[in-house]
Amino acid sequence: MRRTRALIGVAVAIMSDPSGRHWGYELTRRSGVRSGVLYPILSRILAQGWLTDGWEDPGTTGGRPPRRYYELTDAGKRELGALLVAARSDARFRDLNLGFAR
Amino acid sequence: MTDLLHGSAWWVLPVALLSLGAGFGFLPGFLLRLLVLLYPDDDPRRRELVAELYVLGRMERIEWVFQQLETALFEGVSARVEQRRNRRHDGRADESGDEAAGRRVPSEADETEETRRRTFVAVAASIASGAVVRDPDSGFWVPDPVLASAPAWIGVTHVRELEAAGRAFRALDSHYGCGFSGSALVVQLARGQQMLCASSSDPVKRRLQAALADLHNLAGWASFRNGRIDRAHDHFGRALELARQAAT
Repeated sequence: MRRTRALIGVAVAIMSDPSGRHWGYELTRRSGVRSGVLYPILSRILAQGWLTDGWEDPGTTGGRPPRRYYELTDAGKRELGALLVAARSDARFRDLNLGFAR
Repeated sequence: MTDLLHGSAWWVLPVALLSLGAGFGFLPGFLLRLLVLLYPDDDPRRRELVAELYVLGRMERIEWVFQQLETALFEGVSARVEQRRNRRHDGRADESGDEAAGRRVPSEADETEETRRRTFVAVAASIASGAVVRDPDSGFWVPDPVLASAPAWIGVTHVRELEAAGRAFRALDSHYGCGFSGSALVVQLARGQQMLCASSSDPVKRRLQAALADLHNLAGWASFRNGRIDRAHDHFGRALELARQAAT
């Protein structure tokens, strides 16, 4: 997968909580990537098997429509982690906060 | 002038309230539902984008709707175009089905061992490129009607192709006892993963997850035999994960 600022931004946002559930809007806010770019990236990461998706239980949403969530797979943790480690040595991403990618 | 203003001012307040109500009330949801119509009928993004709207504050909703204009135009329209292209391709593949079945791989009875080995390589290469799939009815290798690109929507036929690929890999491995092409499996795995992103009914998705788990299991053993233990571990882990999802 081509390493772009948007992909690195999304990877940082997802890897900041590797065992949690992630939502589209929350990821746009945390990654600073607009949704028109975020969703195609999520599709590609899903296609790689680095994320799985699911839907909220309608019984727990209090009447609003259930949202789609994304969770990292074990392979995703490893691959995105490696991506961030590689990004740390890439001058293009120096201004991004990649401190936790160890 | 003052009389004119006084005379006409009575409707300003209700119109302003109505505009505010529309702008911060039903209008964002209404517009977003129109926008997501750009996605194919069964694309999960339709539900996803609308559902996200209702966790946002009123002020953020308008911004969200405007953002989705770009998302729907680029992602939705391209998904719809791809779906249409795949449907047209499916139609052409159906029309030329008989012809396609005629271009089968020669039967084993006619082959020498050398020919068999060449056939094995050719079949593996064809599977690797996604050019052929095993037809479960005839047992022949036939051109893949969807080629190597994953469709925007999948049905049980697509999953059967993946299941057939798994059976074929297993049969080749069992018959020749020499393993199979790792790159061939990787292509099928990548395709299966892409299919996971496509729209599908829940039973189809579960069957797809099971088929993909089977392929990962095969890939795990292939990696293990090649001494790539870490890779094998990854594949077995993914197989387990998919099998669990398929069972839920």
